[in-house]
Amino acid sequence: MSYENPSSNGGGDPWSKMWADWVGQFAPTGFAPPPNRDEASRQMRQAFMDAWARHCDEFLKSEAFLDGMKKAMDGALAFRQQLNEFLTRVLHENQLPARSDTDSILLVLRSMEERVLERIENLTKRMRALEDRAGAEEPIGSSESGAAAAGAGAKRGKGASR
Amino acid sequence: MTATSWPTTFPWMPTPADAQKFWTDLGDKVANLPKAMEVARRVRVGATSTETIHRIDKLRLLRYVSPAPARFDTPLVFVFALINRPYILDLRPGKSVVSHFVNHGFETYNVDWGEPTDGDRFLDMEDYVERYLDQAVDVVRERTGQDKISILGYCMGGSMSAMYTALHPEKVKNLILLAAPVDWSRKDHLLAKWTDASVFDVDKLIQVYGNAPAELLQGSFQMLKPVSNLVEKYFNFYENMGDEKFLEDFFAMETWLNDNIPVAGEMFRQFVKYCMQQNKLINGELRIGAKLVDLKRIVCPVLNLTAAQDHLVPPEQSLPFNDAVGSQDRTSINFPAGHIGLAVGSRANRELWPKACEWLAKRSDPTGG
Repeated sequence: MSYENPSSNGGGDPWSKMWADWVGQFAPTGFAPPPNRDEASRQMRQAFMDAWARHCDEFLKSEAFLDGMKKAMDGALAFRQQLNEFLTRVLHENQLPARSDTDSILLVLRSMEERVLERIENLTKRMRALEDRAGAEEPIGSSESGAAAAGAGAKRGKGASR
Repeated sequence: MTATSWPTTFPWMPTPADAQKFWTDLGDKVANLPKAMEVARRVRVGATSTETIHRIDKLRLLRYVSPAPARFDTPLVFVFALINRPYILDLRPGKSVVSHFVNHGFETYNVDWGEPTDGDRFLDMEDYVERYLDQAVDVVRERTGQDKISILGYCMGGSMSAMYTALHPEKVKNLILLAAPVDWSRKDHLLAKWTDASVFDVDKLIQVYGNAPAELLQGSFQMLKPVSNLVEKYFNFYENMGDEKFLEDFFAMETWLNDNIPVAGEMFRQFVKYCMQQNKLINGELRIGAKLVDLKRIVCPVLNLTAAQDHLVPPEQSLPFNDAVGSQDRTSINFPAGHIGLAVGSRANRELWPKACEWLAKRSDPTGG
């Protein structure tokens, strides 16, 4: 597979470049016999892995890969969407609810929840304003904690604290 | 030619002795397999005991239980990302961020967001930050009798913590961010390229799938470092199969890495679109519900911890936070580790977390103070 990467320097295909990099790491050693063969082989492996990882990174950032990824994802999503539509049709033909139906119900519930919360918030504000106006030492609903609880209740109402 | 004369000519050519050693090693490793399987079966995650003190929908608020005496009144709440589970912060003894703070005498809590199902696909940023996180914080405040708490946010949880602190500065005493992205202006690293709007249509993904699928997220994260995650890791495993300690750590880590959860669709869409693609958080343009998230409203002490070799959240994504906030007390530490190593790495546990504990201790109210 060929691709162009603006960040890669020099020509040649990436596979050859990766090998050249790897071998290049040993060139300065003059191929001297390693004192510890296990350690030497570990170092060689690490050098190979590092070169491989670097080239993978370059490839995964390349335009060719990004373009391929986009096309693959678009294709997968289009297929999944068709599948969803097909399943919805099958379920509806059989008088069964599909995901789109539960989505609609969820959205209605969320919108109801928001409206209720908005009302509670407005009521809380009005109650606070009344308390302030009354200027009583012990405000309606036993002090600030009552209003705070109402506020917290408004928030919790949305989350249905259990 | 004898075996000893080989290396001088061909240093990497295996000698017959090497070949024999290789086969002997392989035999040993195969013989070790049942032991490795046994370790995999019995390995447990989580170093500190917890109790669930509150539930909101699927969220659980966990409190860490410890015999260590309490030294500070200001409680600490950990906020983890919505991707993966939060027990990475308390993976195993010796690899636990939580235990540092607990043993230091902090009353410590963790927000476990739970696993979203299809019915949670419409949960958005407002639900997570203004509803769930705010309620969890209120519960901790109420329980400890403190007006303000400290927050430690990790990764995406750090971004959410920053948003929360900006919206409720009156409830946060100290903010610690751990590899938390806030500025997505630089597009030169892999994840930024993959999530760019020209490549990744997040609207379509969420429209089709509902929630962001766990498999897609895990696959993407693995492919960010394919050689390390799919090849080198198994070489290391093979080489260390005889080391029980290594196996325990390895399987604990694997348990966490493979314990993936989906992300609620609308939340994922908003985070990717508004934060990662449009970079609204650092630019002061992000709105949660009707409220504008203004990072300048953060005036509490801030500790920003970044990992120098982080491939997910490079330091350049986190460090601009310190200039964006209104705090005077700002500290940042760029530690030589990776994204996960910052939490579970031996060196981070030895050097970084004691420092972070000290930082927090100096800025928390002592017990009875």
